[in-house]
Amino acid sequence: MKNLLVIIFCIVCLKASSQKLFNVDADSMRFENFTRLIESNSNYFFYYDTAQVNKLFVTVHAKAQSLDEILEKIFVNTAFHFSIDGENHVFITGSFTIQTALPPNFLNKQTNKKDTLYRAPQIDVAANTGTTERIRSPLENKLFEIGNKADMNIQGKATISGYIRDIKSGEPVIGATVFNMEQNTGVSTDQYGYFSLTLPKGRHVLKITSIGMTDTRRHLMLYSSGNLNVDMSEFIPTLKDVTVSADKTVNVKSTLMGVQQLNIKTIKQIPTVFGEADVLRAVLTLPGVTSVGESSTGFNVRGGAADQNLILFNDATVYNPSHFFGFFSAFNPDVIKTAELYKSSIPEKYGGRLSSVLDVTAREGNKKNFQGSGGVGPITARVSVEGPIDSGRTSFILSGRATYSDWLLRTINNDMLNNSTAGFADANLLINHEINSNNNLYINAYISGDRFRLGGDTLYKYSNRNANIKWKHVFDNKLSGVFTGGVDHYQFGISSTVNPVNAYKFNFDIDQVYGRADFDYAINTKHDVDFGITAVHYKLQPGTLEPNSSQSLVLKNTVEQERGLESAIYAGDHITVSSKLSLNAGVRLSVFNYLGPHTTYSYTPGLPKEESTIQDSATYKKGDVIKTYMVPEVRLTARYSLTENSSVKFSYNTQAQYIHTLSNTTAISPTDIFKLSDQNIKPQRGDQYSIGYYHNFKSNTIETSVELYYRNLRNYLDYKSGATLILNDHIETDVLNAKGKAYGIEFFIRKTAGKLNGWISYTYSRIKLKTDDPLAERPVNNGNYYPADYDKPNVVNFIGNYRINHRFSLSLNVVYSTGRPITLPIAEYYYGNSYRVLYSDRNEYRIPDYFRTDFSINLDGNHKVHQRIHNSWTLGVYNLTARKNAYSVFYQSSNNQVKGYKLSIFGTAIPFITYNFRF
Amino acid sequence: MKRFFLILIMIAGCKEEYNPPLKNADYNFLVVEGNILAGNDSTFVHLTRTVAVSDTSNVQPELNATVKVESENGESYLLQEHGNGLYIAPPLNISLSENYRLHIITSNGREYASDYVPVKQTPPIDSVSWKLDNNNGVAIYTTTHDATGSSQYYRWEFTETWEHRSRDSSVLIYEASLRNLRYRIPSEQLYRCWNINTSGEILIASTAGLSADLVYEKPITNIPYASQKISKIYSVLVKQYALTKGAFEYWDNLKKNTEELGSIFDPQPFADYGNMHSITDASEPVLGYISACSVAQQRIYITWSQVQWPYSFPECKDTIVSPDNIDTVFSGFDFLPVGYVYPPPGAVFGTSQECADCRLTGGGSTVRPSYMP
Repeated sequence: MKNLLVIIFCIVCLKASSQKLFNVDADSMRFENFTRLIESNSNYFFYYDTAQVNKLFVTVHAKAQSLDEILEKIFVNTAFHFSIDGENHVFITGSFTIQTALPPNFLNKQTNKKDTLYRAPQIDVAANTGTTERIRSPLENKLFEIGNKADMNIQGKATISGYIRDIKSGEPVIGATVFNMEQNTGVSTDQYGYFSLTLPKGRHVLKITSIGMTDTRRHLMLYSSGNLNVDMSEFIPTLKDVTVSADKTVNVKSTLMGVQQLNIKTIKQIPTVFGEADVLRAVLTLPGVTSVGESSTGFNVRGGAADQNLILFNDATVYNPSHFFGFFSAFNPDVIKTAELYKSSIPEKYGGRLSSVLDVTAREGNKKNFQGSGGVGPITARVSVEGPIDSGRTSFILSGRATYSDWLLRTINNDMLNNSTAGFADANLLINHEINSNNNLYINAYISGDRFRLGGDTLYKYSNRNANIKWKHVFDNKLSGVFTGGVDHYQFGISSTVNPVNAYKFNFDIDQVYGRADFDYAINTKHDVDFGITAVHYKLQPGTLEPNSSQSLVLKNTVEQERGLESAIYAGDHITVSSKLSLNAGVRLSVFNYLGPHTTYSYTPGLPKEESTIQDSATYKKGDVIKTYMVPEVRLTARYSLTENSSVKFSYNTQAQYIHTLSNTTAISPTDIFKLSDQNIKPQRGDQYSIGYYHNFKSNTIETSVELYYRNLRNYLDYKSGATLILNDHIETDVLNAKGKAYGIEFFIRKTAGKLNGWISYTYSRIKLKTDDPLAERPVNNGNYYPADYDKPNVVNFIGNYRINHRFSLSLNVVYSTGRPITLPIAEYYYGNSYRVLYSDRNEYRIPDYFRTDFSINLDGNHKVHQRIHNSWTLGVYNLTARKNAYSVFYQSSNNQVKGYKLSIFGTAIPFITYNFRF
Repeated sequence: MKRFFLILIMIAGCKEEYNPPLKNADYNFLVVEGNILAGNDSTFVHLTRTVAVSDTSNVQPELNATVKVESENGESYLLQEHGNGLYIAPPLNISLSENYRLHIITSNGREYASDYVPVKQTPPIDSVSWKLDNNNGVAIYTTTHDATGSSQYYRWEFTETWEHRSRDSSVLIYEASLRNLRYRIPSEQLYRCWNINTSGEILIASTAGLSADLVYEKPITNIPYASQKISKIYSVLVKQYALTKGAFEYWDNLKKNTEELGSIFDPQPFADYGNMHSITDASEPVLGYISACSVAQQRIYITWSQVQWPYSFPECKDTIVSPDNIDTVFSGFDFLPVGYVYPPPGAVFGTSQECADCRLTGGGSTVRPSYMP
């Protein structure tokens, strides 16, 4: 970081002379940076061997001088020579001077023939090795002229926008960084691969980087606003060993904090219990994310409850993201592209949940070729096909997954399990269509179904159904918009026919219809504004109990439907204050209307809300607004770059949540019901302050960060002892208001490139709750703070992947965490012909600490490009040390005595093998 | 939800005994268990104290307390102490239209009382039935209904008694001290044993969500296939109590907190202290829920011939002991004399102890309860 440079750069165009004059003030500036500055402010172009100028630092002060004069100053007393040809090509050489005068006619011809210039391949040297030479593709050396030459007014600014796509499949590259070094400004592509960047007019070099893709750059001459589409190729290392380093500075440069992106490659490297790549399992390995135990895909982010996460799959809300007791997630790994978890600075675009947003994005189908992929594991099999529908403008992916797990249950010689069934199936359909370069259409549909029956008794079923359509419209280079409409549905049912008189079925469902319009307006280099409007209409059927046989005496019992409308407008500005300081400032105004028809109860003021204190009931008609809440939310982040490779960030944000899961179980279960905020149940509120330090090492291949946060939670729902949550017309009588405070510090080191990659993180965090309902008769733990079920102070995660060669890699996953809190008895007594235990304070104890190591070997078939089927195998062992990690500790009375037990979900090492294929 | 964990155990999970380190505090709370019974049944109240969880000793009885049943109108009935914390009143003939409570003054002068509770009239048991299934054994059910629809909440207790026999009926007894072999008197028999087991599982049901106050085939207990329980004759006495809604919730909470934990979707356990309160110190926890009701009961018998499941005796070592060896063989512990070998003179058929002493193969008492044939 020697080149602490102070540079004021000003270009003076003198019409009389063809030569440009420069004002330069540079102190200890890297020569490369100097050349970039010149290049970006003129049409000079430098050719040199980076290795040679590696140690060259430039200190030069010049006023209205030509490049010749400036270079003379720089190279005086050095071994370097320079020469400038008629095309403004500058050649820097070590010991000899290039004669530029020899082929002038040839060069002139070239220029006259074409509007753009083709240049000789530029010799570029990978930054960290200093020796490996690589020839860049011709496109990288082509000068793209953007806009109308006639509009050229060097003083103005212009916006360049376009799509970044995968050259092979035509799929968009999400989250690619388009960066302009000279201006120290850049943007990331959105989920459609779209970007829009405002730059001063003139010569620029854009550097385009994305994880898993080969870095590329584009030279452009920006006359006025225009389009630039870039195709990137997948990073395929050649079979000769090369060290790759990429300039991935997103974590340092981005204003967002507390954001973690996982792409499917990383997700696939993480060993899971049944060998199938799982987004939620991968998310659980990130700092700040915990869960109550192994068979729960409910996850807790920075001390938030599991229902405080907004889980989006291509903008559709997935209410139950897990299958098969939580051992699989709802997301088929064959269609997933990336998963992004926002845990601190949640963009103003999102709202409605307190803790986090998990944004899972699916791939787009291959626009050029038909192809398929799939896999077979011990429990599931999956297959997907994709391809173009018409001439490269439309593509689709159709994929499905199903279990064949019943055989497992049947092999067990136990009558109850023989009568058991458990399984799931899901399907995705994604279609995208390019109407024209300014209009794109995306259709996304998802359906899942789970069912299980244990011991031939009660049958449980649940299902997610989501569909949406999105239209992305580019108004002009500065303004683009996405219009989304969709429906989300979740339902579960429990039924039993074992006793004909009591045969019943219970059903719950939730329907939401939503629409949103999101806009991005790149005003200028300093301001990039996003704004939009969203609305979600909820319709909940909180529970219907019905007879399930002709002899059944079960009375039909229906809890009244609930309706609500959650709408919001938001606006945010990404402000580049200076090259060092940038801000994201956003507001979101959310409004929630609890709508009729509904019967509501009011309670005697000053008394606890109980059935006996119901004072009055009121009936509302359809369309009546029963209660309205309006919450302004703030989203603020600031980033200050300390050096080229380090920055500090601060963020503050507030959130409101209007839909709640009612669950008094420790792990979220598929039969938890949801409840809207109403006149008695206030919206949950939260705010979070966080501060972080980010530092990258080794050419940004090692990212490190420390983040510190403090959160407040209000109107958190806790439950009275023995609360009835199902078929309850007045939930408010069974819940208690609680508040919470959460704080923590997260250390994170990630190695993004090289043979060994992965991350290690350590988190210290606490979450404490307190019943703060003044009317509560028996507040939990006498109204004192107590640790929440998912309070795990110390968590260490190690995720590593070591690539031995191109066909063979090893993954290791090590997890340690403090055991979760648990309530244990204080006394034993004899009652009802048995010894029993008495419980007192909640979560006073902890289960034993958790430790697990997983290991997997990934074997790829041969790498011939042209073969019918590409195979790969993953085999490994989950819980390698066979440690019997406690899931819970509990006491049970049976046979007239009481005993303590420890329940482990996996009491041994679980080997797995999965076969994956691609054709 | 309760059985979710079973599938996980199947996959690889396990449940093992574990005693977490607990803070060793002795709270010594008073525990009051009992029902104020209407009709011709005696009222039993059991007073004990809680012990620490790790404490392996039995719970401590609360002795020398004054225990009374009181009506809202001021009637009062004293219970007699019968030792070991048990207090009993003869049939009280209480009124079904009044509310009663339990009132206790302990020997240290502290005063406790329950809430006043109504007296529920328990309907008769319609039937106690059973079904045989070769995989699951015999399942026993209770069916009951209340035409008035006022019971709605039920609790059951059962006591099962079964007779089991040894392979051989020993008619001889060897008195080692006298070196004498003689015929047994009936009270010395070791051939027939009777076991008694009282349910420790909380059995409750509610008909609140049904169109009729009918409990149909509520499972009471299950006898595993080929169990010794039905090797000769088995009897179960089911007692039925109608509960108030409050009492039902108490028992339901107690069941959830002490019997049903251990699934993967466990709720938080909590304390439900019941309807007993300390009058001396309102903050002092007292455990127990006092109900008042009449009792209905029904007994059924199941004989082996009705199930005819395989039942085998242990392996026996048989021997014929010549008169000279009687002292040598029967003074040891290996053999019991069964009977004289015919024809005389004097050889004795002997067999392994466990083949002629039913107490060794299934326990129980050799005294026949009056209700057993």
